[in-house]
Amino acid sequence: MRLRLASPTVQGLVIAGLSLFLALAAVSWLAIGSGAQLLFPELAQKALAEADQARRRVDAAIELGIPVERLVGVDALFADMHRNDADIAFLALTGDAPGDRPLFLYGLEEADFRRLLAAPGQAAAREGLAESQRLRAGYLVTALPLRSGTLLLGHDEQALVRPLVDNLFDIAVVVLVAMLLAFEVMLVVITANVAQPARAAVAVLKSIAEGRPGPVTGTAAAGTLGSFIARLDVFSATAAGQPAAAVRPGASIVGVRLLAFLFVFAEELGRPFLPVYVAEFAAATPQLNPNLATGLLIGLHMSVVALVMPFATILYSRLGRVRLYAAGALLATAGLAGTALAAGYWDLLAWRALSAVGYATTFVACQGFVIETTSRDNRATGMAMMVSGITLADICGPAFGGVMAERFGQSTTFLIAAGMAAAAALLVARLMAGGARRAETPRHVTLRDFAVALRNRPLVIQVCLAALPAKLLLTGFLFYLVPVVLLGIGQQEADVGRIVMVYGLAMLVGGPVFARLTDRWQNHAALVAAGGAVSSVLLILIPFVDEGSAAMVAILTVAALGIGQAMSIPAQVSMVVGMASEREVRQGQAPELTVLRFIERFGGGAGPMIAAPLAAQFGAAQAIGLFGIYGLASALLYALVAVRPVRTGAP
Amino acid sequence: MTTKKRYSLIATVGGSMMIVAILALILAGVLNFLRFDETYMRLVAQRLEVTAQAVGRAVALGLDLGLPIESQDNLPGTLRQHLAADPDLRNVTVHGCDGRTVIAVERGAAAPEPWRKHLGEASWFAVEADGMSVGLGIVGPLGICGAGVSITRSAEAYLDAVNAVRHRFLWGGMAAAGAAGFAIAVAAWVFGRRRRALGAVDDDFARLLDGKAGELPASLSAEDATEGWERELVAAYLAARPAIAAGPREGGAS
Repeated sequence: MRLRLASPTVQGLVIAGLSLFLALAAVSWLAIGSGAQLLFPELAQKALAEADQARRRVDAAIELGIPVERLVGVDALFADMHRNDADIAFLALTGDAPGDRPLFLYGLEEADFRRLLAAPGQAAAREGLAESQRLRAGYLVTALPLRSGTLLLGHDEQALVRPLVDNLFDIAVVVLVAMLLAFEVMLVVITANVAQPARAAVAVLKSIAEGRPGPVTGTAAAGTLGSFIARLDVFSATAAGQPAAAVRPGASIVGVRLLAFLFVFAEELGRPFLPVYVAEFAAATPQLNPNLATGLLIGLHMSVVALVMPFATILYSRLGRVRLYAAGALLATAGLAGTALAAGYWDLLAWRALSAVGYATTFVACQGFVIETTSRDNRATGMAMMVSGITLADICGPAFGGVMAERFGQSTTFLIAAGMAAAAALLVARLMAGGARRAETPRHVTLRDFAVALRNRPLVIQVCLAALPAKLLLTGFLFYLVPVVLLGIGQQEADVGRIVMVYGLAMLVGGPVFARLTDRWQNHAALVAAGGAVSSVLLILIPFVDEGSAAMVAILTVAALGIGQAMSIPAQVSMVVGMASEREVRQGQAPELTVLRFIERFGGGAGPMIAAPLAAQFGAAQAIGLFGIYGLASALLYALVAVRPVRTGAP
Repeated sequence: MTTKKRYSLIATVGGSMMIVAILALILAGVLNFLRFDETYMRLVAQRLEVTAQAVGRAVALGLDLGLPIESQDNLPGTLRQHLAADPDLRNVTVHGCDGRTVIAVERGAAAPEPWRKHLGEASWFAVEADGMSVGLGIVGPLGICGAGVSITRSAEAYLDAVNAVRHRFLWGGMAAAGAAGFAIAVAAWVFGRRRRALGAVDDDFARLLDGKAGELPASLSAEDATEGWERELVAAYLAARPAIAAGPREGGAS
């Protein structure tokens, strides 16, 4: 730990990260301070207008000869006012004598009201207050004389800054994305300017140590490292006494992290609102069932990804990784821009399909890049690098996309996504540059794989009762039903984005923990079953939840889905790897794994296609409940069929 | 060349971080500004709605008694009362369901007729260059449209507030960007500064090439390395050192 904190790279990143955080915090603090100051006169005038209207209505009754203490309907008046303006905290009518008990008081307890009246009032502290207004104990109190008695109307002073404070959630998302992006960029810069030259120098030093001087680093670096490398190259060339060949440091695997991040991030930006975006087009198209059409279009994206991947794998060996990735990123750019500008449902369908082709192509290019630039010894690290880029994008994309959609509109968000995909196309030549270590390419699924896999009964159980339900829950519930339900009850896109983000966070935190537990307990099937149950059990409760607590329950349910899947996925992969031959797994050619991934992707496509008609038939909340029942039933059946007690004791 | 490259690395690191920081600051500033704008609009709309509802109640009372709006003689007085109560108001209008003005009281020049774009809507809020307006549709006793109320206030106060906040955000954002830029420059300098273990390797290598080889300096140890690549490099150098010490020394001239 001491080593890492002492590292100039870590220190530099910490200083830069802290400064960025503080700068954004300062801007937000300025916004809240200025906002409160400039908005206060408006709040005061609004309060005065509301109090005046209430006064007129009460006075009208008093003029008719009704004594103020015998007025009827003051509670309805307060309810009506509060319905129109939620910032109104209380309404009170008092008699003429000071210190009298309030005749009518709504929204506040009498003891609190007395304390409030006893509190010192600030009138001159803020500009814009009328003579009749005071700031008392956190309330803006407007007191207007009635024909008999006084009317007091209280507004929550904090209500004014609440929207600005709420905005801090959006700013937190911006901070998170900016910090992660800065980290990714720095990683690439450091790798290109420091780690790669250092690696080349190590290769040259090893040649010298083995008595084979001659190769040079063929690279330039900065500062002390640069000075050392320059001397080393001269020494090595001189020692060999002949023109020296440069060692090829090879492509840096770090680049794949940023590339994976960019293409997934671009696609994830639309996640929190895609179903409602599509539904608008579907509803405007005659002779089309809007719900079915929406589910079909969202599911189509994932199905196209599954279908295109084998073809992209074939293209990989012909085009090479850079051109394949660039082509994919450009297709995704066109697809996302087309999604933003689509004129109708059928347009949108075509653009989403194009975007899916781009997604699949870039994915295969990244995967191939990892395979080419790693050996069997470090392939897992390479894949982890790619997966970490994808995970970060899964976390940041929906949250950031939600914020963008709420502020700038859904179409603009897709245009921003297109910009991200275009940026990825521009960066690929630099980030995937360098020589390949081996001539391996990603492998595509064949019919033989299916024949091998489907003869394997445990694998069929694994696919049908664990992998498919997990994917159906992910895409049907999280990608389709969560946005539909939450936007339907008036939540904003940014709120939906933050809730969807919880899944990625739960996976990020839970993944390593449960992977260690999987290895320790060695009862993989039990973890798969438990994970399936955890991810689905809360879904069953959703139809019984009232709208007021829907957002909180959604957060818990999405977190449970993330935790459940973090429990089951490592155990599932471990089990399937155990079913395949070790040699094929080491070569990355196990048909069991290839088929599992392929079927999972199709399952992902089917999720929204199943969820949409269910939601149309029974309602979105009930559809979630049905998904929960299906998930739980699958987990229980899986537990019955697959879970065996762990044998304890040494053999 | 080495020095130039060193500074270019610091510039690359600092520049990359600065671009990300500026983009984040712009985005945060824009989000905050939009939220301020939205809150301001909401307050204005709520305030105008209060008056519109009061006028609407008066109109609806007459309609319920069977009086068409043209015959409600008390309305001009009510409208004038509301206009007088709020100095920001420019215009209070009661219009027919077809959009024609029935009664209007105004302060200053006659306002445009914003309700014409919103006929048939139960309530609306519109912001134009010359004013902010709120409208309500009033349902008659038969459950169909009876009349409409429109209230317009000057946009001057709004434009003043928006300009004030825009200036504050601009200057505040620039100050924050300046402070962040300074801290990022420090971060880039920290990142680019000499590393102890690597420095010891470089010094020792230079001495070896100059023919001043001696015992292995105590400071030269992979343990002092602070990062993986540095540790690997020091270890590789220590392994190659005997061969380097025995090799040609012409390279020292560099």
